[in-house]
Amino acid sequence: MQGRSGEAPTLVRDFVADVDALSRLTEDVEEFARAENVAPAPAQRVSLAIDELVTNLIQYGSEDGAPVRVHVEVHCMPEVVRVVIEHRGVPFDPFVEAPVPDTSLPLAERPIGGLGVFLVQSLMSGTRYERIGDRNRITLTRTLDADQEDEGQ
Amino acid sequence: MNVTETTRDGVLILSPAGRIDTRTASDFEQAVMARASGPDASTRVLMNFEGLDYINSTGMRVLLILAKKLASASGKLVLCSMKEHIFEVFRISGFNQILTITLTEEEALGKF
Repeated sequence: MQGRSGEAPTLVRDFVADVDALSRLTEDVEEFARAENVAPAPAQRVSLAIDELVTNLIQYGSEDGAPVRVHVEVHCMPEVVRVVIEHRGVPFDPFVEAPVPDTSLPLAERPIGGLGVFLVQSLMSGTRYERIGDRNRITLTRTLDADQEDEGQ
Repeated sequence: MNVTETTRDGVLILSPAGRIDTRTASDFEQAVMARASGPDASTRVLMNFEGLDYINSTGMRVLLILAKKLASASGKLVLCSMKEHIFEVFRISGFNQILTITLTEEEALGKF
């Protein structure tokens, strides 16, 4: 399903979070971004950021182990891609509660895992968490100008 | 995602192709560990990423496990031919500091 939200072309997906649905989602996001003429580098970053957050929902999203239903919107605007990820569940702000990894540790001391949220924060221009009723909402923004500057380096 | 395997100069070369994501990371882990474990397994492993289009943190976790395992056996993991957007993620994660990453397979073979 692709529609329009205001003026911006929008991809909307509602799905039960499992690894197959997530694989389809990341490929759909990349295809949608390509169709909207988003450059490959920011499109990959947005896709990976969504992937990391939904992966966490699959792995840790519900207290009783029941599958989590997730709502994802991707809005492509000329200068920014905005992503909204919503799900019902206990309040959890990943940007506050996920520990920040020490990326300077040598190999022997690097813990396994814990990179996902850090990657999201590094790859996105902005991240926000809100609690709305019984839902967790994460909003990501990736400005496109900054990416063009990155690519010129 | 599939992983092809060759050997050059006693170095095990594993070449994953496609996408390593949360769906395929366990297949990747099994394929890699099956070849890099056991009494006859090579402790010198080169991972050629030329055909790899995508990797997320679930896949990077497998590389870290493998690198630690090889290092503890006095071996080594070297990565080569990584696409730019994949290298960016490795740089952000600090993996370029703890793993040897080269531009070409020839250069990588010289790192063992």
